[in-house]
Formats: sequence, structure tokens, C-alpha cells
Amino acid sequence: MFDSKIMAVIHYGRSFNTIIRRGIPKFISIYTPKNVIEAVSKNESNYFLSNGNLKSYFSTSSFLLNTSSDSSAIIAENPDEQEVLYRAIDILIKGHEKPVLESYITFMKSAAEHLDITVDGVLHPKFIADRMTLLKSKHIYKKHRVQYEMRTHREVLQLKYLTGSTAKVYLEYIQRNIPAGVAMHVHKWEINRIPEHIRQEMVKNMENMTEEDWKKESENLAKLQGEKRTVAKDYQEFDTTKRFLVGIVM
Amino acid sequence: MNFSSKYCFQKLFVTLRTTNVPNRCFHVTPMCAKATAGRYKLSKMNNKPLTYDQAFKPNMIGVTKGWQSSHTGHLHDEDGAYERMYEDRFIRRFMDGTFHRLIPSGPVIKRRCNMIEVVAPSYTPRKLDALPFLVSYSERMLSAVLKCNVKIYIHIVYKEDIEYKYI
Repeated sequence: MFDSKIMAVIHYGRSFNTIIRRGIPKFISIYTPKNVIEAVSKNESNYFLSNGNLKSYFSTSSFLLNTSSDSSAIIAENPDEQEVLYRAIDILIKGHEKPVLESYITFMKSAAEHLDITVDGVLHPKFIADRMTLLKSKHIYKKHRVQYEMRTHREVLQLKYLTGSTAKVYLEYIQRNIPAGVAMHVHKWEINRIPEHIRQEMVKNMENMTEEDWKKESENLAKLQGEKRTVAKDYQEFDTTKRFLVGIVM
Repeated sequence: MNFSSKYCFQKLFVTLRTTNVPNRCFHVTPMCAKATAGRYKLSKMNNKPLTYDQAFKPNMIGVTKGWQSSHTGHLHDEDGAYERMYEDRFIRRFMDGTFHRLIPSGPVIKRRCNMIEVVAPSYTPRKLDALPFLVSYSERMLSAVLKCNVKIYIHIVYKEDIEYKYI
């Protein structure tokens, strides 16, 4: 009875996204796994398939039409619209104090755990030092100087496989709890469909491909997927910056 | 030999005249190249009270001492540092004026998102009722000027507790 497709549906019903996305708690009961299981037990296993479209079962457009102008309602009006999917999200945080960053990273990790978001890893790129060489005395004595530096420590949290709505919720929660004096940059990698005209050509080419070609293609794909992960080196910059240097040429 | 005082004086006068030629000098001491910024001057009787925050010298900032204002302006590749500085200056002066003689050391200003949090220790004022009024008044005024949410946290302290060191 529980073939793979139906299991996927149950998971979809339980997930955090849908509840947030619809935005109205009244209709949550429709998506709860219990109801789905009941529906399955009452009817045949290919109930969904006979209906034609999976989403027609979940659509709430009839309930929500002309009720409110909230963004949640607008999304619910056209449920066939596909949600944004992210392959990975990198959250870069900067600050002067390293222990603050570390504690914030642990906070972000625990928040991700509670929302069932997979944490790919944490990167520790080297700190950047903005140096300034100034005269030691107030006036003259050019040979005697002092070098001051401002260090910006950085840390990167890598997240994997998120939907648009979870990303929104998670990021907002995190950004509301950001400690003072810490900056955040978010890098997102969105997944898009291959455009139709290219896809048709690909299908055509697939017919002509031999087994060796398939092997090669799969190897290439594996390589590409391996390369996609960001490393600390990507965030590495110059150890020192020339921007603030006065008088001395490095 | 005559050791009378008169004879002695005469002889001394003669020697002075011959050896020390009267001339004018320009007296110079070595230059004072000490760092004085952010350091408090010693008082004569060593009875000038300092708070814990004031007792640390500026070279300890980022080591044992925190920053008085924390925002993202001065981080690498971020901007808006000088605007924050002017705002901080304004907030400090405003707090000094409204909580006159109440704040022993400068307030700590924290920024996150659209919020400015000002944290300051304060002595107990003459009229205790005045404190909540001053807090809400300054919050309102500052938020009107800076066009963002301002929150002020005042901690009441006693003089004996807050005096950490005498110099």
C-alpha cells in the first residue's frame, strides 16, 4: 500500500514548509499524515494517480479566494506555482570578536537542527587585518611609527537542500537574533529547470549516446557535484589590505 | 689667617666674578612622547575614582576590554563607519545631558538591524520617579532624531560598588 510515491506525499504533508506556506492554521488538518493515511486506506493505492494531478488534492484555492490580500493567500491561490529550491546556502558572518561568532554559529546550528535543515559544514577562513601605519608621536619623527590593525574574523555556515519558504523562515529567525557588531552575507544557489528548447535537444541526443558516453557523462556529473561545494579558500582574501597603508609600500 | 665672615664673603665674591661669566641660557627638557590618548590623568592625592571600564588602558581593547559601541561599520568591506560615529557622539552627549551627573562612565551603544540599544549604569537620582521619565523621554527623542527604534537600559549602581580603582 505504501509505495514510494505515497510516502513522499506523507512527508510533504508533515514538512514545515507547507504549514508556513499556507499560513492559515485552520486548514493544516488537511495535510496531516493521519488524514492522508485514512484517505489511502479508504481508497485504492493509486488514488492520487487516478485523479490525474497530485496537487489538485491539496489545493485550497476554493477556500481562500477573495478572503485576504496576504502574501500567503496569494501563494495559495495558485498552488501549481513551483516553489524556489536551493541547492545550497552559505551564510558568511563577520565580526571583530571570534568567540561571539563561534557562539552564534552554535546557535545557528541548533536552529537548523530543529527545523530539519541539513548542515553541510562550517568553514573558518583566515581573518583579514586592515593595517594602518601612523606616526608614533604627534608631530615629526618620521622614523618612529606604530602599526595598528583591525581584525575581521569570519566564519561560514553551509546549508544544503532548502526550499524557498524554509530558507525565508530560517534566515529571518537567525537575523532577528544576530548579536551586535556582527555582519552577515547570504549566498544562495538556486536550482532551475533546463529550458524547454535545450531539453528537447538533450532528449534527441540521448538516443544517439552509447554506453561509454553514458559512463563519461555520469563521471562528469559526479565531478561537477564534487566541485560545487564551497571551501574556505573561496572566502580567502589577502591577509593584509593595502587600502589603509600609509607611507609604506608592501 | 683671618676667618672672619667679611673676609670670606669678599673672597667668594671675587672667585664668582672671575670663574662664572654671566650668560643667559635656554633650558630644555627631553620631549614628552608618551601616549596620552584615552588614558586618565593621575590626581595629586591619588583619590580620583575610576570604574572598571575606565581602569583598563586602550591597548587592552579587544583583549580584556570590550568596545564602547558595537556595529558593523568598521568591519572589512562594510561602510557607514563615520555616520555611526557621529550618531554615537550625539547619543553620548544627549545621555550626558539628560542623565546629568548620574552616569559614571560612558554608555555602551549596540546596534542590530533597525535597533539601537543604549546600556548605561547610573547612580540613584534625588527623585527616583524621575528615572523612568528620563528613560522614556530620551528614548522618544533619540528615536525621533535618529529615525529608528532606540532602547535604553539603565542599571542602578552604588558609588561604593562601582569605584574599582583610585589614581
